[in-house]
Amino acid sequence: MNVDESMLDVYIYETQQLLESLENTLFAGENDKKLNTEQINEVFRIMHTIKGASAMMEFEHMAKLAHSLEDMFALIRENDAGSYDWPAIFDNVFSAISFFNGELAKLLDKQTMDGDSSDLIAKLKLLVARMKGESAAPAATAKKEPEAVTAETPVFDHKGDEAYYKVKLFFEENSQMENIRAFGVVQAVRKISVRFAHIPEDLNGDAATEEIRNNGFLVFLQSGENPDRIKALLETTLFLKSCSVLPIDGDDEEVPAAIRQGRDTAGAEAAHETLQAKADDHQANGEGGVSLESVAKQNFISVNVNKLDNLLNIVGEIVTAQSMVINNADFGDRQHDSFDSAAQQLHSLINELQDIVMSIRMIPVSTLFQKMRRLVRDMSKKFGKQIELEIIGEETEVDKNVIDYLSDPLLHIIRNSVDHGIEDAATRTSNGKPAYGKITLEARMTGSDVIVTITDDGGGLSRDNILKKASEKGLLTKPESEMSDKEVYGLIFLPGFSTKDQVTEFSGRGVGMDVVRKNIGVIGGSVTVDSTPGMGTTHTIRIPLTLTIVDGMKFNVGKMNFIVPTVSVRSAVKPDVKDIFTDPEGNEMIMLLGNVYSLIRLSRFFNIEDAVTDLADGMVMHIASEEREFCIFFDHLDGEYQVVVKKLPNYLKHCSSSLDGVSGCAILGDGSINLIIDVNSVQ
Amino acid sequence: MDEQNITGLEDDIEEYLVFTVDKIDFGIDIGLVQEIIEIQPASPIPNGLDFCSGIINIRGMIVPVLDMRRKLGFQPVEYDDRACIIVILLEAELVGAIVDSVQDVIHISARDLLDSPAISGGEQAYYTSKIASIDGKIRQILNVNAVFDIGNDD
Repeated sequence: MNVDESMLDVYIYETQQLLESLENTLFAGENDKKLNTEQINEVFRIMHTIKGASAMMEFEHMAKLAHSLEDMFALIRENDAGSYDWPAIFDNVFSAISFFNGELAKLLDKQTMDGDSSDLIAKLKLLVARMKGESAAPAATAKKEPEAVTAETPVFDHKGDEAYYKVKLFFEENSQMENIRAFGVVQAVRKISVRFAHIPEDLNGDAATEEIRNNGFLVFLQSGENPDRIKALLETTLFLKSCSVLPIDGDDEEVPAAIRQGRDTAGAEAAHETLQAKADDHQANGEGGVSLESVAKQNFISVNVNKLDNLLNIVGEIVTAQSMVINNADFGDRQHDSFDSAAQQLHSLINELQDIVMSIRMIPVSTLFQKMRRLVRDMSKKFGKQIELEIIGEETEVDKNVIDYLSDPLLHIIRNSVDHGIEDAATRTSNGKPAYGKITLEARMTGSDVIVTITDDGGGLSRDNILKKASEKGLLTKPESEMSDKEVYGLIFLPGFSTKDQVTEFSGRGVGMDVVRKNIGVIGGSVTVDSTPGMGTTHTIRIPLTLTIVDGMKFNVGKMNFIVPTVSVRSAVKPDVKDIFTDPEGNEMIMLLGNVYSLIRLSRFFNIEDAVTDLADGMVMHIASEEREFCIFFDHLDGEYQVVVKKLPNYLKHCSSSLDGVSGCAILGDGSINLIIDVNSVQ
Repeated sequence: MDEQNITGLEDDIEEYLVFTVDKIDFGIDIGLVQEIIEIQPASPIPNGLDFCSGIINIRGMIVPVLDMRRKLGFQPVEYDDRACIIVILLEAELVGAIVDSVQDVIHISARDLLDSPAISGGEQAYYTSKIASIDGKIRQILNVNAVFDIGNDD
């Protein structure tokens, strides 16, 4: 394949986007059991584009499949009120999407695209044949439709007095894709000429683009129109820089033989077809307003994630450097009014920059959630269960990394819910539940975490089955009777645990919930499960927002400086020693505003020797995380800072017996290093 | 000396940075050394092991610093202004090593390097891989993997 890499990337990216929006269109339609006119046009447009792009990249099997689909939808488009076998249509299009996605995945992995689309094409042909049988009327026109492009030969109205013209066009520099623009010109010329030829003859590929860019696009035509009208027509071309129309003698030797011999440009038709597809798209983009979809598409660019990472790092450094400048000791304590106001302006600009950079990396979970819709659809068909997937909060935005790591766990949990969780319709009805099972997928944001819950209204987890299985596998560490339900449910996350005896296509492949826990753990998240027998199961995934710049409260314990994220801080007070007491087990507790919290001395937790020990001399901070509330005792509060979170060096684990309680570090404006407290692991 | 010999020698010559810890000269492969900076106070880390002085900030990077006196089993002292931090690159991360002083960069040819005699001589023998005798002075070449404890845990 002698296609250059970047073109391939663009092809993969664009086709994936198209498939995604195709899938969404289908889902929207499937609810109504049919597609409306707009949706049919949309599907047709997408297939047309994929066909064109695939043919351009010389992926024959993809192009052929897209072509078959296009055929089918062309037929439907002709008579969209007709009655069709919609379930079969949906199934076939979904299979085709899977096929395309599979092939694209191979392409991404640099494997050969060895998929065979002939089966799918045969099925589609059969379907089309049946449609034609059922609705004979549109069949005739529909048959013509897919061939429309090639059939569109100029209408000869040869009066014999047409003059020859030589047209030379130059496009604006940087207008891009000159060959496709030239193709637009060809289409326009076709309508007004008896016959014509153009140079370069073959418009496909970079060579043509290059030639048009350098030498202009040359068209020889024979037409009955007068030169001014030809010129006026051609000047409507987008991005046109100059256009000249010169009458020439038909016997001029410059005139290509093609025209003189009366040959039309049918030879180049095959090439035109692929260009047509691209040109269609292009027109939609360029002229605007044709369809909202294509206009919106132009507003996005794809960027390598590494570049964003670099940008984020630099912005982090800028934040630090800014505070080094503004709080520079060289200024002393004197007032600098103009400096201060300039500094203030810089500060707010940098804040804005930082917000923008953070938001760039954030993408909504909707794409991921839509994938689950497909999974639930396919699986419920397969298992003969009726399941509805409800999606809540799909606009919730998370860091791109999070999406990547969330995908597999979600797939796995939902497979489990469909396979093991939701009962079949008969069982459900006999248990007094609606025949339709329901899975709810919800994403929401709390201050510092994103929480994704997957809830099904199935049979719930069986305590007895889990215990039986766990004891068979030797996974129990304490007597069954002593374990709480929550502890029992937690067993399913242990490696080697799988409740299903039989391996099915979708779930229970030996890799189980332990992999889910591991994947979520990689991005610093946690997963828990809760269940009510007979009522259903809820999985809760909690993932920290990977914010690399946080607001934090700075304080010290002995010589060590710490930062705790401000979102976790409820209050910081000088404690009243009377409010602090010790429980029978020796744990210190503190009474704050009528509530009792455990009090953790950070000096003990981190083994810091030179810290304040007298409760009257230190301070107490009330900390609340999603999981718990507690208080910490420390020496001295320093104030609030905005800090850039840095990963702890890996080597540090060689230097410390335990880094528990520390999630990272931050460099402040004065260059000092502060440790960031992980509020969930301090105890 | 004939030409062949000279080229042969050049191929085998390696450069070492010589530093002193408790009056003893050590050498470290110069290829590992990123920079040498003056000693600076390190921020302590929680539950830090005794040989780790803490972490320092080098141009925005967090760098752990080891005290070579403690690591190699010598008496700790109050470091003076001759002391410095040798920053080396280990597994794509920077790690600092505090030494009494840095001497020189020397060329040692492979055949002047002898295997460290296997005497049970405490920590520092374990941490040296080779010994070179240059101009009558003994230089012990640091076994970086052993000193920095890499590749033999987890």
